[in-house]
Amino acid sequence: MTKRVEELARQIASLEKSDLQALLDRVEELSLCHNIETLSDQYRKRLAQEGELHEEEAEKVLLKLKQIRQEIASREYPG
Amino acid sequence: MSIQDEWIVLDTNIWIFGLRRVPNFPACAELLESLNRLRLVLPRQILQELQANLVEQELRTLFRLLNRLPVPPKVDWQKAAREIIAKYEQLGCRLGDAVVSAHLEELGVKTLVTENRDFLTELTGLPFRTINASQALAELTVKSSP
Repeated sequence: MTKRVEELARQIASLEKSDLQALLDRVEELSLCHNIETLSDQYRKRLAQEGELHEEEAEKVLLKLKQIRQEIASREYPG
Repeated sequence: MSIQDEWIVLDTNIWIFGLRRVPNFPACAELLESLNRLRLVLPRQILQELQANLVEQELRTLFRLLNRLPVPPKVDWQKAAREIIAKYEQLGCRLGDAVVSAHLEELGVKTLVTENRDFLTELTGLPFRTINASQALAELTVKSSP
């Protein structure tokens, strides 16, 4: 553990209970946002590599999603 | 009724628009950043659609972060009942949307968040409400205001 982290940990540990809880909640929120952003970056990078990232074409994406929905449903519930 | 007080389903288009960061639908990305305030149900049809859109590594990452939410999502792999699907087809749903509707009814979910206009404007008589991502965010904002 670095000196800076140790110092930070001490500061956090000395917080009042309500502040500590608020801090932990906020860290959770920021962590979620960071993880979603990372996943989004990975996904967008792959789509770009595959030539599938047409940002202006929301309608096309929606249409493709509808097609996928129909294909899956037709396969799962034939006839 | 607020989406903070109930189990909800996010349609596949919310997940995909959010992850793609589609410019015309910024609320989808914003809603994904608020997942920790939601109680999510993931029914079979939506799970399969996510599988069709994401590669294995992306799916693993998604489920790893979902499982870290304060309230982990309910994942349901049960197929929908034929007779309930047929009921929604008679209401005017295409087969795929009928399957999603049947899942919601069977799982007792009262809110579907979607950007699918077929759901949002063209269908009536559904036993659940449909709202888009902006409306969902508005409900979260109202709820968290002092």
